[in-house]
Amino acid sequence: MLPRLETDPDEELSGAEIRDLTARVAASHRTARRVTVLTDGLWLVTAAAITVGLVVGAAGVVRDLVLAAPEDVAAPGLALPALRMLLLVAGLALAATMAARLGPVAVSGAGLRWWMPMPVDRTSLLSVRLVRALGLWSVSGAAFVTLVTASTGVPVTPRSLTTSAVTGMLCGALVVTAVGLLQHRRSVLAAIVVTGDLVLALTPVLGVMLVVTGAADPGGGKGAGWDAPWWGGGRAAAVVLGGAGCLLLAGVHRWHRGLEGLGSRTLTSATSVAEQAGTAMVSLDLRELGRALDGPGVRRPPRRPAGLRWVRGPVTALLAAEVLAVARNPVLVAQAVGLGALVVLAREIPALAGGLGHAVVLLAVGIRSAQLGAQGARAAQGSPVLDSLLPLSARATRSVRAVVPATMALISCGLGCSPLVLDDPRWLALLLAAAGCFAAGAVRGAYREPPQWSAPLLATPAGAVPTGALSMVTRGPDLAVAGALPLLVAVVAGTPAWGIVGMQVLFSGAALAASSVVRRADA
Amino acid sequence: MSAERAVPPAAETLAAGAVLRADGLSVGYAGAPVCAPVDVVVGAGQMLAVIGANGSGKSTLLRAVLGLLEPLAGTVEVLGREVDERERAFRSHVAGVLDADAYFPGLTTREHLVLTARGHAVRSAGTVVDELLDQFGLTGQAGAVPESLSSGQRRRLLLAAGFARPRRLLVLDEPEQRLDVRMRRTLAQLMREDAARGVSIVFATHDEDLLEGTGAPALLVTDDVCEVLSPAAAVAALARGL
Repeated sequence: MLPRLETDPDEELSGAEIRDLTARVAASHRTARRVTVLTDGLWLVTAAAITVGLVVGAAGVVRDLVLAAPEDVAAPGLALPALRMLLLVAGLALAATMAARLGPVAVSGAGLRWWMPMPVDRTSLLSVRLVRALGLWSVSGAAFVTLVTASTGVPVTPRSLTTSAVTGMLCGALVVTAVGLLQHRRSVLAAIVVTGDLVLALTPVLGVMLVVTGAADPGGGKGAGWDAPWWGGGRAAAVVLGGAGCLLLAGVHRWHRGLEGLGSRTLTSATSVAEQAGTAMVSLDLRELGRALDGPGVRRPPRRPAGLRWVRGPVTALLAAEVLAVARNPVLVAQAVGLGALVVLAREIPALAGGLGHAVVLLAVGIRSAQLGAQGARAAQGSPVLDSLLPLSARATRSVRAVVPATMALISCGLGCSPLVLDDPRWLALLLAAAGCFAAGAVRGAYREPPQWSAPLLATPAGAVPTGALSMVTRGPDLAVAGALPLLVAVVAGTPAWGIVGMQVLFSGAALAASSVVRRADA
Repeated sequence: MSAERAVPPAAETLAAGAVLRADGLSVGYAGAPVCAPVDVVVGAGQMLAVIGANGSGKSTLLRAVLGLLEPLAGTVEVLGREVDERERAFRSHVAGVLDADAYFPGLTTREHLVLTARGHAVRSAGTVVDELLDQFGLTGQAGAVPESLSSGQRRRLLLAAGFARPRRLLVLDEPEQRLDVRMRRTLAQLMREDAARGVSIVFATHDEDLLEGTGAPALLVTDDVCEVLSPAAAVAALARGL
């Protein structure tokens, strides 16, 4: 017989109380002693300090590379302030699109299942999540802007660092607050995601336009605007910073008040993405992270069905699916174009203008662009049934799945190397041949297994390295690097001899053959 | 198939105290409906099963009733107000058990249920939960974390959570899933008992025994039409494989 339920108004809990009750009960089961908590805290502080040191060191290296122009390279056409502006635009777009993808307010899956159906106030239940989002975006914004300014020629002084950190913090907080205010409007959120992705992808194109029009001419001051606080000094500083602070406070206040109106529908999609992305981050599974951030809630269904009249058999059917997966996602196409522009832009930075620097950029662009085209292979790894739908051998399936990645790599590298191709058409033949090895790497990477944490750890002076997880991250790019050796030699040498083109054909063929091999355990 | 039309739930009763009312309710995803529009009224203490083939839209319909999905067209009202799960009153009156399977790390089976009861200001939450654990055969697993339970035991836990809180409308999505025969019979008995106390119950099911055990009429959901069948006709439809 069911128990009779009686409610007591005195027993009613607020959202914050139910959250605290959950935390207290969970904590009561923990066996960790205070010493353990203290040790963990010290470890966290030490790790954060080491990370900051590494980042500052890396920023110094990047700055030296960017500033040091080899003698045989002409004066760069991209001024450091312009480069800085491009990076900041990209960072702003990234901050907005990530905020829209991750909520910015989300609860855990358990919170969604057990807390949300309760008649408790959502304002106090979710306010911790709001503070967390605000803190995360503020700190990330401060770190990013400081890193960018320190790496692009701004003199590193306490004033410039303070200016950068405060600017980044304010921008990060304002961006996440603006997105938070719109969280309940799912169509607007989807528009922010797409717009942010497009801006991020096309920022290099903007850079190329600046170079072409001469707007990025290196005539400007290297640290203009950053060597002193933009908010001025004395009374003006108080007014400007006070105004920005008031704007932020007003926004946060309104955002906080709106938490009560956040429905389970809104939180479900944010929670799904945040949980999947968090798990992928913890397990260093970059492919899963990509899947999480490219979630189904983000993409719109096609407006009209494809005709598919040219499909005549399993090969063309698979190819059609591959083509549609890319063609129906404008962000992927924009990213391919943006990557091409990145190669052009890199030539304006002395250290990357030629030789090994340029070869590394071309390699990275080829690998990434091919990965963009491997949407079908990535999906098939997650759902193997996709590969068994058509009467094709596993080997043939993987070979067909390499066609679109090769095309994407050719588009990006071709656009990026268009000045070289116009100068010497043999470059086009070389890039055409090299597209195969990039595609091979993308297919190999797409079908890789999840990170294996059971593999032995490698002891290094910097700590233990999980070899199993690391090998899974490098699987794919390793084949692309090995296969692209002739291309890299040609770029470093500056001449695409026909012999190298022939070598590239052989290397790419071998890479494609290797990527289409299916071990019995993989099948 | 000539489906025997159910005698519509007593109109005068429903008019007096309709708990759930759907008028031309169309549900689906990305603007595309998954089934025909639904017109149905469920009064206090009445049960209504939702039956249909896989993918016919049963769960989608229940999600709309729970306010987890925006209707494409038409209206759905609970206790005279349009469904909006953001309202506290709605959440305090409507209990839903879908297939969501997520748990707080470190919390035991019993603690999850006590948390639910306390979140709804239930007096003597611990005693109530202990009785429910006994009803659902989970007393032995009270101190275990849900992740260590079998899938059937986790299903019982989710169902127990639906009964651990006050409710005027209980929505269950295929509650028979992963339950053994004995538990299904117990569930049917508990549902009858709940309805006798005035709780309205809407549940999607593929199980003839559960449908027969509850004696509920059923809403047959298809692409072309959604119609209410009598209990006997509904059981027959399930027996025929719809």
